[in-house]
Amino acid sequence: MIVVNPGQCVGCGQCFPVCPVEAISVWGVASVNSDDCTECHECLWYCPVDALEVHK
Amino acid sequence: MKQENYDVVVIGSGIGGMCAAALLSHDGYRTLVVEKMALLGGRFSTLDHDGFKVTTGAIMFPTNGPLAEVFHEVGAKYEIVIPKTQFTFRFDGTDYDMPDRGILGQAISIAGETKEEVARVMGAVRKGLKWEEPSDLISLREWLLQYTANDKILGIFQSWVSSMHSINAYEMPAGEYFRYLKEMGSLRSSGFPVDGSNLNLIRSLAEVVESKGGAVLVRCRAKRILVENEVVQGLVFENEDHELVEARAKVIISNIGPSGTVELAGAASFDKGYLKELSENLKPAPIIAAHTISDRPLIEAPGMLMLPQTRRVSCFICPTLTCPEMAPEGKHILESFGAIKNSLTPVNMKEEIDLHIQDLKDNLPGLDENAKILSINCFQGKWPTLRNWPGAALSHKTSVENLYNVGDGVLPQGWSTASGCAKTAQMVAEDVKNRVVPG
Repeated sequence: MIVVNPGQCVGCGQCFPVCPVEAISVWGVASVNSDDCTECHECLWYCPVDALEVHK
Repeated sequence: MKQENYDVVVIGSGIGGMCAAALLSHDGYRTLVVEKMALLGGRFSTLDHDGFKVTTGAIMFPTNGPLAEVFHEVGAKYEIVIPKTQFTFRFDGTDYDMPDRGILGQAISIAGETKEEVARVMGAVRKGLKWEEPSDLISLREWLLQYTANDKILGIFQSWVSSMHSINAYEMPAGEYFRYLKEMGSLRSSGFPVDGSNLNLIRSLAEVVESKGGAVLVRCRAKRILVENEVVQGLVFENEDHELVEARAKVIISNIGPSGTVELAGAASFDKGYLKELSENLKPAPIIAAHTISDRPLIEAPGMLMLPQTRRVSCFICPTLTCPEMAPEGKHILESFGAIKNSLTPVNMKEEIDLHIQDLKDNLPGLDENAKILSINCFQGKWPTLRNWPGAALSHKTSVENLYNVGDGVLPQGWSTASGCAKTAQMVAEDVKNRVVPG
């Protein structure tokens, strides 16, 4: 599952438009809805500060 | 490890890096650009969200000045569509369109309570421009308070500085504001890329690099800048297949900000004085920005709607009024920006976000029924609006020979925004051409 590292995320909002299933919202900080997330990991490639992490 | 050879390696594909890469490619330097993300352009890019073109940062670009010059010089497409009115100021709920020239004077004459007050403030502005700019030892707000305590006039400068420089008027060095008026005052009308895509502007620069035998690679992460005896040697990066590649180069240009550059080369590679200058003079400028979508335009002003009387939001821009390509048919997108209470010390971001939203509600009638805030974005820390405060003027040269920085970490005095980034690229390209022979 994709987890947002709160210490790293600045909340720039770059990840939310790239999520194909709209599982990410950004309201000052990003959050991933794990029920909707399909683990495509595309968002990892759009985070400028490496705040999105894959947790097994 | 795989080895490759280039004249120039650029780290980061933001507007500063891509301008430098295109300029040098155009002059015969074989150039590699490495971008760690899947998307080119950094904070000068565009993402698609359900047919809405969402900017990753930069939004309006002038038709002249360094940006236009770079595109024209390298033969890249730079088509900007200009809104009918550039600037509109909202005072007490009424929107006043400004003329193309003399914006400040017009806004002050509307906000001023007496003719004497307007003349006093305008006289001081004129003296700062024609005689000598005020000292940087006081802020723009302190300077202004010598001439007026009128909140509307103070608000004009606050909204302007917040929108253009991402900090507050009480933080802006007074002299730097005047250098900015002089330098960037020469820029003509600003507008939106004709197809609404910043990314396509970046792509047209990438095409120049590729057409000259260079390469622009995404999903490639810079790992280490190689330095020997204080001279740069190359870059080790991880490619898309997770292989390490050593790109030997005569010149490395970093567009990831001076701190990131030091991290990649290792602090031990740099002169102590240079490191001290960075630790004392590098201050990222944060803002909060939001994208709001709606079925009808939420404002009428087609350019920048300046908000001098709000809590935090300093400016609205509704690009779809000029460039309907940026949304599905009949829909609109509105961008709001605003500096936060304090650009240096940590603030309560939740409170800052609430104030931004409150400003949206108060200044966008119909927001609740007809519109949706897509996201509230913070640009701060390692991904700020500007990597350094205006006026800091860190050199584009590092203490390591042939290792340069470009972009908003090293803006020259008087410069800001994407135009300033392009200016740093011009300066670096000029220096490289004078010192390093390609091939």
